[in-house]
Amino acid sequence: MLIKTDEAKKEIESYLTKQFLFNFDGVNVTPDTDLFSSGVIDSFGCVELVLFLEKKYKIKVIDEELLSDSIRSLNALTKFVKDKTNEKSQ
Amino acid sequence: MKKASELQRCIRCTIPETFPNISFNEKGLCEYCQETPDSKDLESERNQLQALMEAEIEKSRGKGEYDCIVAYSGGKDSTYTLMHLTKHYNLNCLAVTIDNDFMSSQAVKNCYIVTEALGVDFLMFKPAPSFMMNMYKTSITTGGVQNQAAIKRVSSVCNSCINLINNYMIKLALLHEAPIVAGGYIGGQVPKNASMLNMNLIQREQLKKPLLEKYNSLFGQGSSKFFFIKDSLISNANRNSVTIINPMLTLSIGEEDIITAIKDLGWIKPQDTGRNSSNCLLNDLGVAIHYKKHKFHAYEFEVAEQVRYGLMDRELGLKKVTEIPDFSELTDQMDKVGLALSEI
Ligand SMILES: [Zn+2]
Repeated sequence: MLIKTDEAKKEIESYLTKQFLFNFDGVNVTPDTDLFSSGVIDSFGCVELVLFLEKKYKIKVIDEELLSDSIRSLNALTKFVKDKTNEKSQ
Repeated sequence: MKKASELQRCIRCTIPETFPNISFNEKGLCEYCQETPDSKDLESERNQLQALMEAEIEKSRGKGEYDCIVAYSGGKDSTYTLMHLTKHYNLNCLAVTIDNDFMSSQAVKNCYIVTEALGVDFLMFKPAPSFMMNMYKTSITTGGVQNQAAIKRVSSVCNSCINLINNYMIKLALLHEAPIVAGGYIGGQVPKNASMLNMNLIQREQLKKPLLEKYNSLFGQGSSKFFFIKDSLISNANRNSVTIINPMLTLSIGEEDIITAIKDLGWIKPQDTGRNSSNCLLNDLGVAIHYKKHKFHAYEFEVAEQVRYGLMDRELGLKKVTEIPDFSELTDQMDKVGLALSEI
């Protein structure tokens, strides 16, 4: 599955704001904000996020990636999904 | 403000129009019900989760002083969980109860009766009530450490308590070299794959560290021992991860059958814990405050999921989420926490 970065970013942004009840206001929360350390997503939230990623993009998030920097912000998540899906299609 | 009984609700489950970001289709079916697989697929999903959990259980057996630390509230779900792990899986469990100073006296009795009947070791831990009351009051007046999304699953009062309990269970798992920590969460209370989660404790603490100051400023400098795990405890332990399991998520069993099953152990349903709890006298206050603030019952998500999955009768579910306790019935709890109605 090849995905477009812009599309994925929009999808992930919409999922995050709906699921975790916040907005990317550009001040308190930006696409680079660490959503875990800022308290937007807690440990159960992390579990839900992984469920979403795995189901939506048919990827597997492994333990080392879980809670690593690669899934902490919107921008990181977008890159993560892009890399993972490309990896699979090669 | 509409009463809970007047809200538009999904025609299949019970989720109300006031639930955050909920949408319904033209038939009146909520988005969760639209996505729910049919019962055959649900069963195979549950079986898969069960197989994963069982594989982990077999891998963990006999590795420490205990196989499993069970977060045991004395309520019906954790009682069933403890029984299931002990009798069905034959695990060597340590049952641990946190006495939050709001336990129903029948719930305390149930803890002793059940653990004795099952022949498991039992530990009761009671943090100083002065600390707990301050934690409750602060959680109510400030929202505490609850992140915004958690309001969908739990009241702010319960959330702080759950954080404290989870942290203590993990600490005990390290001390006793127990590879597993078990909870009695049911569907809707936690995500489905919380039936079995490997938790890396070093990462967990790293993630939480930025919140340390928030905890200290809200609950007092001494609060970190309740919510954090010291690096040295992790580095001195024989493991840096624990497996969290919630076996109820892999079972297809409803409230009535649970209560029937645990009665054989001598468990008696407390009569003073409100409609939604079977151990805690503070729960109704959390429910009342949650409804006042967020316009939906703190148990909406859980009840809706139980109804959707056929584990609870819709009528019973509606009763559970539409009867909001009145503050006039909760003056004892508010006095004990030191809370005036004007502060809510
Ligand atoms: Zn529904």
